[in-house]
Amino acid sequence: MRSAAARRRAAGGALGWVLAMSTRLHLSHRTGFRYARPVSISHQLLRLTPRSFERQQVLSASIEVSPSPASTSWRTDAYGNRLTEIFVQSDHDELRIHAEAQVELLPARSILLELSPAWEHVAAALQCPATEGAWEAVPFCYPSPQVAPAPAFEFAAPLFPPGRPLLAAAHALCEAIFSEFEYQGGITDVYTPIAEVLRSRKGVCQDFAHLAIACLRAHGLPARYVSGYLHNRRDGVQLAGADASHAWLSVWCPEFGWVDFDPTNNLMPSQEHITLAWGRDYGDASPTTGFLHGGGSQSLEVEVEVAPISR
Amino acid sequence: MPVPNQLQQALDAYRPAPGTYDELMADGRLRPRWAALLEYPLPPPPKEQPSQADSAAAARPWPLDALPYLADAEEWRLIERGLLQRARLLNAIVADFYGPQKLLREQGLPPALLFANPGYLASCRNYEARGGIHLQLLAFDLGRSPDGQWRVLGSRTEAPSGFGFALQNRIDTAHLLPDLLERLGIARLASFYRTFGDQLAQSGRDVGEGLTVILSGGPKRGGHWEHTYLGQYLGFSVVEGADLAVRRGSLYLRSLEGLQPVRAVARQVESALCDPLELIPTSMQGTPGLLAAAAQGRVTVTNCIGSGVAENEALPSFLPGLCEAILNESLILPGLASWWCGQPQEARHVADHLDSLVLRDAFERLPWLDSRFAANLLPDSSGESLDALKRKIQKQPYSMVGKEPLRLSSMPYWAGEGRLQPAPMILRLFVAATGEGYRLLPGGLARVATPEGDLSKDVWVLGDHGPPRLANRAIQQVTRRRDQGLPSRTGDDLFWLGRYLERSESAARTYRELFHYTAAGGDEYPVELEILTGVLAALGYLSAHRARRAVAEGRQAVERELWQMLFDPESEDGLAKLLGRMHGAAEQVRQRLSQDAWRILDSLANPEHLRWRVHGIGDAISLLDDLLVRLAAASSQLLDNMTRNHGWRMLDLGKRIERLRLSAQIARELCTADPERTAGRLHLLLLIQDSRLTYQSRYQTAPQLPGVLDLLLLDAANPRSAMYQAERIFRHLEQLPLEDRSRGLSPAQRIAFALLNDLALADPDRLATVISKRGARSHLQRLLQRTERAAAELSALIAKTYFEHASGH
Repeated sequence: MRSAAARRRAAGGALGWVLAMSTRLHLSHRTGFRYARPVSISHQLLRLTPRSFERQQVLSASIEVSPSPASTSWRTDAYGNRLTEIFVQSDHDELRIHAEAQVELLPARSILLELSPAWEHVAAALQCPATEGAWEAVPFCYPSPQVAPAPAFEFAAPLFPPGRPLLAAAHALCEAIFSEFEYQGGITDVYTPIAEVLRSRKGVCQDFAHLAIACLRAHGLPARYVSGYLHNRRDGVQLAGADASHAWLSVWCPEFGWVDFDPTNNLMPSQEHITLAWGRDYGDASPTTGFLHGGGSQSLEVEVEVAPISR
Repeated sequence: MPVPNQLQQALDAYRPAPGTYDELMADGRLRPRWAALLEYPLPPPPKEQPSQADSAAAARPWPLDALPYLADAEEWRLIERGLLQRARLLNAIVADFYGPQKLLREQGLPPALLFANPGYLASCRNYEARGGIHLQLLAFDLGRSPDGQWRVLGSRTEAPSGFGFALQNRIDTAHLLPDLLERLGIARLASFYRTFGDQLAQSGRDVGEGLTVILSGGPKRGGHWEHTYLGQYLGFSVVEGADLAVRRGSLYLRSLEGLQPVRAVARQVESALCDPLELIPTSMQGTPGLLAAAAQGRVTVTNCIGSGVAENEALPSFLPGLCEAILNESLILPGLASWWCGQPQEARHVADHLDSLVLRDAFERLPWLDSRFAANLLPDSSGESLDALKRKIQKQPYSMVGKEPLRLSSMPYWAGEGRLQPAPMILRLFVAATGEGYRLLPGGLARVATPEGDLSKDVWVLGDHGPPRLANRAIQQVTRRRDQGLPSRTGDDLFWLGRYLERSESAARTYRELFHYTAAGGDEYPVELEILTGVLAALGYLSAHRARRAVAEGRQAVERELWQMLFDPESEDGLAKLLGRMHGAAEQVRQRLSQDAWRILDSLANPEHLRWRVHGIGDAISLLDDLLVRLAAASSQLLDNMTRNHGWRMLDLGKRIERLRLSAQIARELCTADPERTAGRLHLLLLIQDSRLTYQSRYQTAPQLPGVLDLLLLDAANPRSAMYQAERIFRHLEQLPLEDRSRGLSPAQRIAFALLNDLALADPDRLATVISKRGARSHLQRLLQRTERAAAELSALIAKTYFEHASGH
């Protein structure tokens, strides 16, 4: 991996500006599973290494597992996320995973939402994609295992009048979810269907991201699920989902590329959102998926800390 | 010499419906190919289908109709060319979908065709299929349109079903109509199946030395019977996802011998359910890590994971164009005209012609056992209003397809009383990849939809196929079967089957004695009643409050609660729960049991039909008599007829350990405390342990404690004694595989050996006479407690050593 300094050198003339504007964050994500009975084998798939892309560079990343795994391997999944596969083969009643990373975040580009193309033109263009960007976006236009768009069609329809610019519609959608739904933990889980969230009007970040994605896909538009973390700005207001795993969505628009929206906080992610992984829905981007032998009932403890790195 | 036969008579009365194409008759005359069948006397159709007599019929989707479907030689050649072409085409499409996706990017195939299709699994992209073959086995459903043309109604690429049924139909039909196949020169099937099996095994050998297995969803899910049938015929173990494990990237079978490498998997579990780690995490049918093992070429999975991408209703309308583009050929066999609403023009056409088209979900795979297959090909079969359908098309156009309707041809079936009736028919035909390209099975499965339900028929392909090279391939196949590793889970189930068998027997015997004493006037035997209910409660066969009531109220309470004590499946006490668990274990290993054994076990666990017989204590006693006879029959069927392999050993170990535990516990309940009152209990002890006659013939006295203890605990010649169980257990343990024999006795063997020692050194007189200050027979108590503990430890050690396989290699 190239060092951050090398990347900065490669950035050339814009270097000084970038240095001035970027934020560096240190991330610590501890996951602890406790089991009622000893586990003899634990096979885990981890998506705990943040991704590098245009507005986020990973400076360093590590994952430590205890007890130490008999084997560890790394690969990239179908959506380009970094996968760590671990296999623990000694009896244990506790499994601890500690992921750490240093990331550098650039501010999101300023976007004039009203200048984006009309949503129905984007939907039509994706019927026969013409650019590489469109080809990357098109797998995110359709139903996926945890996002059935049909139930969201009626809720979304008023927000998508003909001719409305796609990104403006997406922004209005996030606003609608933010104002009409109540953030409440403990009543939904990662498998709660969208129809249920629409009925109860309650949920957490995953539910709101899934719902917004469903609304966009119901209109033939590409939206992907993003999992990550939220850094609570010291000066700012308290944001929901901070200091824990967070989830939002990203919408693809010609000329603009992928643009992130956070319906839980009704804002457009910039230097507070650290991106871990993305995919069609939670299932493609979940931080840990595991398979155990033994264990009985289990309890889970997650501790996330995001702190600025002073320079 | 033509002899008028039953078929001829039935034919004279046969009237196909006007306006449909009939396979047998045209314009009131027999189609020429059927004439050959009439030259030979046909036996009358059997009153009962041959396979209904055995338990296999329960698992078979449709009864077999004795009249086969005769396929014309020339027509078959066309079908063959058409289906082989389709197999090559579908394979190329799947290869592209999971590879460069040029069909989308360069040939203009709509992206929704792939990305809206739940059968497309993005995680399976870019893995190299061995020899470029993604689809090793395909099935095609064909129907004939009124103009006489065959149409392909659908293709199955995920994990085609029916391949085993076609074989079984052939074997059964050949029994019904002996010699006819040969005389008519009908194409044989055996060599096709052999080639398929060889190909499968070879695909594994290319990876390395190891097993070939059939991955099934298990006995509770569809098709398991067929998977077992194919497995036995081809000589491969049928396993479930939980029997397999991935270690360091390679696939293994968890067997009693430890982890054994698996190199080829014939997958009968849906792709998305194959790997809970990478695909659907809630799947209980898969093996974590299987996808990665396959992707890295450590195991060959047939058909490749994700192959269901070509099994949907949207793709067919693109096949003529794709055939030109990919194979540079025109499509030989037409499908049904269809309009996939993922394209605006097609969506409009469908919306405008809703009443004359058949509307289908584009990506929902129809269950192949759908008995409405004929009705499903006609308009208005979805049962939804036109408005609702229009809304569906508007909301999610790519998930709808409009299809040209089809009135299927009719084919006669035996409708009883020697009559032939016409019914709509489809064919299911199979194509497999071989070393020399794709080949069509020269036969298949015909299904007819009768008002009484579906029937299946064997498909006979006419033509000069010559005599078979070997008289009986089936027999030859059987000799190929090797005794492969016994899956640990199967060992576990057999072990518990043994334990529950023994436990049920002991419970039934104890209940029976309770009823005997109650019937004889329980009030006159308060002591015995108290002892028996005490034993039942201690063993967990009776709740404490019910035991107290029985003692307090005697006959009335027992009689009132008879049913629950015996067979109420909801009851926590009673036999039903035990029998149910025994049945559950047996069901898991059904493929390893003889049919007779299974039939007995199956009947034992369905007591509902016996309920009416229990009116009073007399009924209960005869019911228990009957149950005990059947349990004994099941035991001997199981243990006598099984090959002496590790499976048999596990079953017997389960029985022995349970018997050891029970005999020690019952003896402890009856003989250790209250030395003054022992005498009356010995009789009961002998009865419950089924040893009264043995005792009498040996001692010819009323039961005396030293003699009873000698017989029930220490006598190595008595198959009910603890000593006998310990010896058997020790010998079984010697035979079971061990990781390292050089270290001397295994922990389990040490326990069994120590127990043998204890029992051998015990002195029955001292056991009977040494009484502690607290008034208990302390020597006896200690020996019995050690015995019970040994039984529990043995069970736990066997489970840890042979069933869990945590340590791996």
